[in-house]
Amino acid sequence: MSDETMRTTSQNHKWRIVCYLNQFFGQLGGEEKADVGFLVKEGPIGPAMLLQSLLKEDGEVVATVICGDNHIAENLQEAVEEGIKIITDLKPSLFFSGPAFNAGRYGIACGAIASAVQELLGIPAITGLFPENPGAEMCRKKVYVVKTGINAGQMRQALTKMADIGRRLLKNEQIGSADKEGYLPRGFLKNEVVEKPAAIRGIDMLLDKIAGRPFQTELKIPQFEEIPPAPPLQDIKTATIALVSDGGVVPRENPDKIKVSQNTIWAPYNLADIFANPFQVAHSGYHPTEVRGNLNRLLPKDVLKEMEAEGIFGSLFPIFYSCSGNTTTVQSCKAMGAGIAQKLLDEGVSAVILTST
Amino acid sequence: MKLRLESVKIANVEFGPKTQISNGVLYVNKEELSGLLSKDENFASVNLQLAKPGEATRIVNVADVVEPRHKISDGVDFPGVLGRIVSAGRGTTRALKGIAVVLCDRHRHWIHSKSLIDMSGPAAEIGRYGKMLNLVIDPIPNGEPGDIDYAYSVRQAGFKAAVYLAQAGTDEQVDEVEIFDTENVNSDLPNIAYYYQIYSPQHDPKGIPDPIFYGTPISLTLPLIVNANEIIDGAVLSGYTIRMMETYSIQNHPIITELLRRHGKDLNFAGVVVAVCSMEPVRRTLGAMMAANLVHDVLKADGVIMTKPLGGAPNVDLGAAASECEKLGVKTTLLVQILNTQASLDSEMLFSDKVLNAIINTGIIFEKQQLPALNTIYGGDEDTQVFNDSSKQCAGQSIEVEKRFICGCLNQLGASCAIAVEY
Repeated sequence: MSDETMRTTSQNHKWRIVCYLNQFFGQLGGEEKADVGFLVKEGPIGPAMLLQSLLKEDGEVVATVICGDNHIAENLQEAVEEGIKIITDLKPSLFFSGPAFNAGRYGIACGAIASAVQELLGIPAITGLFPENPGAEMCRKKVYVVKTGINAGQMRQALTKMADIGRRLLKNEQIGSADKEGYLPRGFLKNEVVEKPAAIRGIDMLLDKIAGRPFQTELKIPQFEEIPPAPPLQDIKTATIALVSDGGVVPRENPDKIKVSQNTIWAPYNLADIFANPFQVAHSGYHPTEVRGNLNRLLPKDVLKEMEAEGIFGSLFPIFYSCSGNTTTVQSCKAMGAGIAQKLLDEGVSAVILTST
Repeated sequence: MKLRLESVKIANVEFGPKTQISNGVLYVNKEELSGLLSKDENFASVNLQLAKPGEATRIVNVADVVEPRHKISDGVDFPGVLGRIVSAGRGTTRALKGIAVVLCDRHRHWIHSKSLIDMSGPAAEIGRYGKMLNLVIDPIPNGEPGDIDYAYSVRQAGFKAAVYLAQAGTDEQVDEVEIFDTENVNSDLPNIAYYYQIYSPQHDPKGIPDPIFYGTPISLTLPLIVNANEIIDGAVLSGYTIRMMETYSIQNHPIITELLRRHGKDLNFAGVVVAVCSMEPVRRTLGAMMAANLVHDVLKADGVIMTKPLGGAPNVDLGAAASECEKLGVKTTLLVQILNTQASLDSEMLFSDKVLNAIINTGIIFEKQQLPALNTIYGGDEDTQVFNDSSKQCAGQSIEVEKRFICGCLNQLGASCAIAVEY
């Protein structure tokens, strides 16, 4: 749903607000009631009563939808569809789920329902979760997830932020950064301006670090995934070997429009053809003089053909896969890699040589 | 090494019959300066324009920005570039403040290395030079000169103009004097070094080993100790591609000047290690090891602040050098740019050593900025192409550019207050 559609909803009349809670916060009972299916209570129940008082100027909590944690967790997709039907009939203009704090099943439910409501009903949906709740990673890029403490001790703070963000979304007001507003990052960054230039922040941080005073890094070292290497080839004499390169070599006119930077596109090209015809390099992160001078520098076809003729390995796959790896996000690289790998598997290729620049 | 930097503040600039400063107004004899710069055979002519804050003016094809500077004593202007090789960083230098020389390169090579400056609108808000007085040097190529030859000529013209303007300030009253020297060390204070990657040769295969150190290319140089005064006094200059490290920001180097000013107060400025990135792993490792040894064993630093040039690749050199410093017990902070907006603050580093826990983020370079059409175009015309990753667009229209092309908006050396924030 675009921000525009979200914001054209409900201007003059009082908003219809719907809240979603689990069996516990919905006051049905504890774990013994976790199998209860969806039910609708008129007006606000439990935490929804606080939301009602926070939003009383603008809206009315018309109903509270309650469902047991097990009922929704056991068959998430089906249960969410069931919930959406019920919520659609209540014609909400604003939707809240939770907050679920660090409760796992409840958190996943809150995230899934809020995401589905926002996407399918085109209204703002807000939830609240502890950052490490498994539901958080599933939905933080789809809906606003207010960052909460680990348990209901911070109910009021969480609901106040949720109500505030919900109100501003419906009133078409700006929502500030994740840190400032207290929601979980939605997966993108913006430039802002701070008081001190980077040079001074850097020197101050260094002096703090040396003196053992606390400091806050502005960027964190990523947790890189460990990728176990594929098992070795059983028999290289029969192996089909393909070339895959992120050096951006494409046929003249770049038919698949592989981008020179921030690329997300990959494409198969015939190896013999690329050597026989004019080609170009769709990559602005290195200067392609050497590659243009002799394409074997990027795609070592000459050596591989010799080795193939000598019987060192089975055969050189006639197609190579090309993409451009320049300032591309890890996420996009993964997606391209998965696509290429699947294609290679489908085509019976047993090994690849990856060449970069 | 002691440098006396004398500043003359310029409140306004006008063309006039004689190049001089009067009551804070810099008058420039257009014909005289244009004649001086037009002597280069690569130029058919040289246009000069004045651009001032608030005007509906867009300057395109910007290749560098230079602060007017003239050596009053104990040195030559831009040694190795305009003058013979004499050490920079000693004696007295006169600077004009509030005004910059903007160099435009109309040559069609490498469109995606040119920046722009708007004198009003959003780019003026976020860019340093839209808020300053600018003298725009806009040569017209003579025939079809080679791209590197031409880039060299444009640069020479810019530095000549910077000296020419500053010479007008020779007899003026000085508004501010700063003495930069790091002689007296207070042993109670921490020793802070600066590791300064001044160049990355990743585009050298095109034949551009930019002559940025005393006018000399230094693509294969191993780490060196260079006096901080030399760097801010004309020894280090921007390369042919601007890349958020324009000469003006080196002359007013935000880290070096801050460290010099705080020397003896809350730190000792232990010195600068100048380094060049390498595209080759063995050489990169060698450079990292040597830099760390210089920082630790020669400069005796307790901590080092570190910066990089260009784009993504130099991060690898930066991380490697920082890891080596930390191994020797030298604390590090690093200035790093973020490339994409679709990212998070814990996904963007190109190194993975967890010891590197103090990183300053200097903004997102590919973030897009919408800019309105502006009436007057300098450095080109309304049809001049302005680089945009996805489409062709012309200077005279409303355009969308990445932040890295708004000159003075983002800065590798830490001059900018921009920071990437999670949304």
